[in-house]
Amino acid sequence: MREQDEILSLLTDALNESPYGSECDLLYVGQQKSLTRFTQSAIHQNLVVDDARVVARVMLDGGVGVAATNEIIPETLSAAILKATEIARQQTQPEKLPSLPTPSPIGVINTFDEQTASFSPSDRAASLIRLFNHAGNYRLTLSGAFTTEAGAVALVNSSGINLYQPVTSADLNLLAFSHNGSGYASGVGRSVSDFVPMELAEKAVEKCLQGTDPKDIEPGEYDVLLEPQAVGDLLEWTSQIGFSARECQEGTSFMTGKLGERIAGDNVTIVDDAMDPRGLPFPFDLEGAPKQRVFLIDRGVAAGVVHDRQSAEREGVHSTGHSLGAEFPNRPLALNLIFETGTSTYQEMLAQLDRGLVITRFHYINGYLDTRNALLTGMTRDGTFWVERGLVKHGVKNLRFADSMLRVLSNIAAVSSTTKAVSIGDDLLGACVCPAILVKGFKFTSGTDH
Amino acid sequence: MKDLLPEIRDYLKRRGVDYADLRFESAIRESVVVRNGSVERVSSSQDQGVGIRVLLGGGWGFAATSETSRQALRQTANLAMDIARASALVSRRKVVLSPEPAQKGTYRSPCKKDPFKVPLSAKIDLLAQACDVLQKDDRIRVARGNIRWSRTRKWFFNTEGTETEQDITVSAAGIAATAVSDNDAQKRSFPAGHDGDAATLGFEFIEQMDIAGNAERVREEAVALLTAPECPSGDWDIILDGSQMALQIHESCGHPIELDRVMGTELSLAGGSFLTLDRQGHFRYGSPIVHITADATIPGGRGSFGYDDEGVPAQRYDIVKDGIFVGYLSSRETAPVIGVSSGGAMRAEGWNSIPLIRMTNINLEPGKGSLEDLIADTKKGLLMDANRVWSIDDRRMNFQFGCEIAWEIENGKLGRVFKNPAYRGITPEFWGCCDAICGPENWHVWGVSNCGKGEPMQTIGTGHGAAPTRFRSVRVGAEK
Repeated sequence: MREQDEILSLLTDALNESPYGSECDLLYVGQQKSLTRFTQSAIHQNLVVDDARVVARVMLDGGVGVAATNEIIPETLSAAILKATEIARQQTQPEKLPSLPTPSPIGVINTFDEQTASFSPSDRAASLIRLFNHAGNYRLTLSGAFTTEAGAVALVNSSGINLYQPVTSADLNLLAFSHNGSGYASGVGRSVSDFVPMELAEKAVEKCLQGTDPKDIEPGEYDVLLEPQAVGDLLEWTSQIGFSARECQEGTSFMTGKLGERIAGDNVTIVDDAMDPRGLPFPFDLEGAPKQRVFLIDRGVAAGVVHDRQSAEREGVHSTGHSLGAEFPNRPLALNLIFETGTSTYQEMLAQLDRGLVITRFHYINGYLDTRNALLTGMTRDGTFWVERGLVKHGVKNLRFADSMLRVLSNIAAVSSTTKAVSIGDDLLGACVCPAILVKGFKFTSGTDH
Repeated sequence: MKDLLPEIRDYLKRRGVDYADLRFESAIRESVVVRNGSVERVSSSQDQGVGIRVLLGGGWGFAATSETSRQALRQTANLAMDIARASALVSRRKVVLSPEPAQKGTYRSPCKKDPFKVPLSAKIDLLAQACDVLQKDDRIRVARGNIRWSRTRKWFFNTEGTETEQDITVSAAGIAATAVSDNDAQKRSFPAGHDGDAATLGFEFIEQMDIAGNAERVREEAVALLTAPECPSGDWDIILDGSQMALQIHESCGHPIELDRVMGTELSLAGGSFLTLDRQGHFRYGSPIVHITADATIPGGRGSFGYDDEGVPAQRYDIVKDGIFVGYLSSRETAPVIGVSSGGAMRAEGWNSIPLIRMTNINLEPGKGSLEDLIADTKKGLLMDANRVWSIDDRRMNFQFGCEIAWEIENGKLGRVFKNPAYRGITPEFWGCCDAICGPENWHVWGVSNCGKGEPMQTIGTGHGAAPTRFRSVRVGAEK
């Protein structure tokens, strides 16, 4: 791992080689990713990967060039600037591109944990042995992955931005298996102490035991209690197809033309807030703009979308700090979604479920068929239960749902008062924070054999 | 660098590892994206590094570094051994690798026209021309084209004497138009959905696509979809075009035949497989005309190579023969479980990724006749084209896929256009309804660029030879 001064000095020296009259930025992302995967309570994959990458962007005479390298020495950074310049010189743009961001106050938040950075393969193995033993006590096995990451993001640009943020994350997902049942639990945070592995193992085991020997149920409309992971799975896809300014401007989002209108129940408030410590906070986007809290749905009303500088320029507004950097221009994305809490406890919500389902998580959701109506489809997985009069009766075989998120968000009967952080894949930059929700009349179209 | 790899390999042998391999990769990836007449992005990315995989005391360890000095490689080798020792604390069964003869050889993918030597301006012009045509209707809100090309140099050494060298060039391209009205958005793509088509070929692959020549049709179909009726739900005979068949094969056959997945090592993310070990050799996967192969030797296929990332040569073998499931994609560790030698399907995304069992080119072998013949032979049905939606359960049984467009077929002739077509099924039941596959004249190896698997997620290119194919009495409709 390189030190802050060394990285910023390398980037600043390279920046000085950008051509006269150009705008330029250099983004550094360095990571040591350590991961242990296991199945049937045995480790089958164990790795540590050290890598760092610099992406150089040069904007010159109306053209933009981007060049990246993972060899971080002065000569290769100079070569990247030269390559980006050469690319920029071969284009002209019909429209003037907005300038790179200038320095703005960046929120101060700790995103680094020393214990997590030094967590070793042996530490992970020792932790897992205890979990495997716990599952073994119930004649169950565990599968999953235990990941710890440590790294840094740094950014300099020709407008004076000079940023460095060290970052760590820890992520444990666990599946307990019996002969025909499975149960899931997960934890994610900036620190390995943000979750207790044994508590997760106990949860996964409990769900697996409850779901063993699952029964068939007919597809149809059911009231469902969606646990935080299932809510996060839906929210991630909803964001993909609708909470970005680009999709809104281009007319493919369900938010297009709806800002200011009611699109959900008044118990639904969804924001993007990268400074919320309940998630995986990170203070600036990959162009150096400060992350802002953005109301996407405010008490049921479509309130806003997230911007990078290009989408913001088009509407004459400011970036909300949602750029993915030079390699993904014009693609603002909400990475820190927060579904605000309600007032119910989980048990109160379960008690309201007269005949319906508890759903732990979804699998393989896709939402590209009809984005204007936010139509999603996917399968349930690893903990789907039949409930009668507030009591979990038995596990059920997995079901396919197909429903509009606009309809789902308009049919929420209760929102829990607590939330959980849910990983969305890239723990470096963010996670969802979700409550459990009780939804009336969720649509299932078909089933499967397990 | 090339001299250092055998030096480190010998060091690992001296340290007493059971097995080790070292893989150096150096890749250059470039791309250009034109959106609504503007260059949205031109980027060039280089990366290189070494991944070291060690088997020691019954445990696997993998460590990778972008530093390529002797000291860094020695440290990485030591780290891989430390990780293997930690794994061995929680290993349950003895790892046995299938015996494979040591390989010494080189492979270079076919490349007539080097994409790195084609001027950037020519690539931009090609996409700009296509976008100009796409934008000749105000209802087209997004006109987008992309060209991507890459070259990867790979050196592989293992402790059993295998030493191979490969150079693989990839070319890819596609265009898409999104038409928007007050309450709808519809997309058409060419030559396939999701950024088009890809191959391990040179720029000649992109030139033969005739992107500009297809732009007008793409535009007209996107606009027509805005006023087209919703695809009717119900049981229909459907013909899937080649690119949608590629996706169908990929999701419902390619993934469930990955033997590591069958053995449970993907349970934590992507799930398991319905093609369990007890089903090999007798399970009816599809109708008797279904013949599916794995073939990493097809020149130019996106899933083609000379050697996999365990140094095993590329191979062709049957997966489904006469409708019966017969074979898996396998690795050196998994193959002994079913009593065979490795199927040569271990592939890593890059130097910093551990190899996993991945699809090579998984192909539905061609049948007879043209698409026109097949349409003429269909009394009432739907022709669906270009994938838009894909979703399948964690054992690859219950699936729902959607396409960009459908045409009604009545009495052997194409009729009305329908929007938002989707179909679903249970994998072996669906393939059991396959009653016609078009012939070699309509067969093409489609490149899928975005196959994801593993943790950390690895994205890799696969190939799928397919022709338009008919399935009888399939459930159509997304919500009912």
